[in-house]
Amino acid sequence: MLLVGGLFVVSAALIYAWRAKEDGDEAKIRRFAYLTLFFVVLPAFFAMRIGAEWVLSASPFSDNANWVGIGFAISDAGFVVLIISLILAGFGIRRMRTGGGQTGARVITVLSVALLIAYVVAIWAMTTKPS
Amino acid sequence: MSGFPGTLAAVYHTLLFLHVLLAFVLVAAVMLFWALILGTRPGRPALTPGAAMWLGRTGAIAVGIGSLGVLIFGIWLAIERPEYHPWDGWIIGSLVLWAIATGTGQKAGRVYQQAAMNPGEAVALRGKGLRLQVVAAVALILILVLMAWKPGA
Repeated sequence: MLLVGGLFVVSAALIYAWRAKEDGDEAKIRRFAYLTLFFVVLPAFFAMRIGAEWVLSASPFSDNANWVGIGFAISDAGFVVLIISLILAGFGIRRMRTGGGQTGARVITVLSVALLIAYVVAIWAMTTKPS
Repeated sequence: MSGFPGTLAAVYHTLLFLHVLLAFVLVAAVMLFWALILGTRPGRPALTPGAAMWLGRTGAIAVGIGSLGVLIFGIWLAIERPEYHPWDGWIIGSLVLWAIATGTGQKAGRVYQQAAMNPGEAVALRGKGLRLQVVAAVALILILVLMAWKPGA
């Protein structure tokens, strides 16, 4: 929940920054979104992954179940996307000083919204447990 | 999955998915409000007033959809499943906590809006808003505890 909530904050802030008309506003909000990505979303990802492994090991469900596979696939791919977003955010914070970084911010916006959609699919898999 | 039992299972899974999804939306909205509280601290604002207003409106829409949806699908689930009843202790406890969370959360939002409009009283109003927001967040965490462990079920 913290992971999805953090991504929601990042996505909402970056969508606003994308629409912002003043450069100063945009840079400030992008910085806020990037810090949320690093200080909230990244730790929440590890909490989610460790918690998921722990719950699965204590549950009667098999590691080979389809829905478990969907969850792990989304989690693994999501981690790669998260790392790419964090690297782009790092470059974005550097480029902000010279007034750049808009393209990177737009890529991170798309990636964070895509991650949110992927986690909705994971929630569907966890609740409906398709065989 | 086929026949009547299959249909019942599909209904249950759909209701459970919507209930859990809307719980995620509600928690995401509450996290957005916490981000706003941190991002609009007087003297160290990380957000512009325009951004704070837009994010606040987005959070208000999400919290409205999440809190109402989670209640409707939660009660529907309790009626749908033979092993649960809307009058079970853990469900009544959750409903009471839901009322506390939504009431204090709404009030916190109003207090923060007042703080934004009255800079002279901002510190006192923000302090009051923070206390209300903490109560709402604790109530929400307790609901999650009741949903996960279902004491007495």
